[in-house]
Amino acid sequence: MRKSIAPLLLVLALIGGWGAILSGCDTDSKDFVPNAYKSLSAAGTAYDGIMKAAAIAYQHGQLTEAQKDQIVKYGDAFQGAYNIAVAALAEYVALSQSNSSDGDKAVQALSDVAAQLATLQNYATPILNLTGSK
Amino acid sequence: MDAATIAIISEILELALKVGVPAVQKAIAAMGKTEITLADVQALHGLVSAAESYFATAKTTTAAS
Repeated sequence: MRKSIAPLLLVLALIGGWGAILSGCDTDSKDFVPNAYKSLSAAGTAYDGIMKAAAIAYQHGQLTEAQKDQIVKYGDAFQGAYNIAVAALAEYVALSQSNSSDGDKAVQALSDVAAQLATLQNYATPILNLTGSK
Repeated sequence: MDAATIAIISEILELALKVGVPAVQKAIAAMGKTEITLADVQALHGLVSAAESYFATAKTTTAAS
């Protein structure tokens, strides 16, 4: 059962993560906060799905130590960017309540999250054999 | 994000929900939100864990078996 779930996690992670992040960057829109929130939620889910799929593959001996170490390295980079983006959005929400907020920091952080997620996805997808059936 | 992409994501998320994936359940709940509070944003930290921790769990399971 676990092995069949891993590709599903990766599929929804890739589609959900990419699509959501691209829609969250217009600070002039009243939808900026909801879109940014949903973008980060999707990105976090995407990362979680990729890492769980990688861990399952590792458990089944389908990853070398070098591959696993590289995925951990990219994962750490993503997690760092993600936490910075969450903090930036939280700061934006807190400041917007006093009508003195600057969305540029949050937008830049979202872009960084997208970049780190793309790096992780580009490396992990072929290794985890997303389209293959095992 | 266009309507077709949203539809695809929705179908996949519904399937994953049936399978019972906690993280996806949280993502589905997040997609339905229109009013975002500071607490909602801060809760995003809980969606991700340290990269090594995913493999540590796998290693523990392997060692135990």
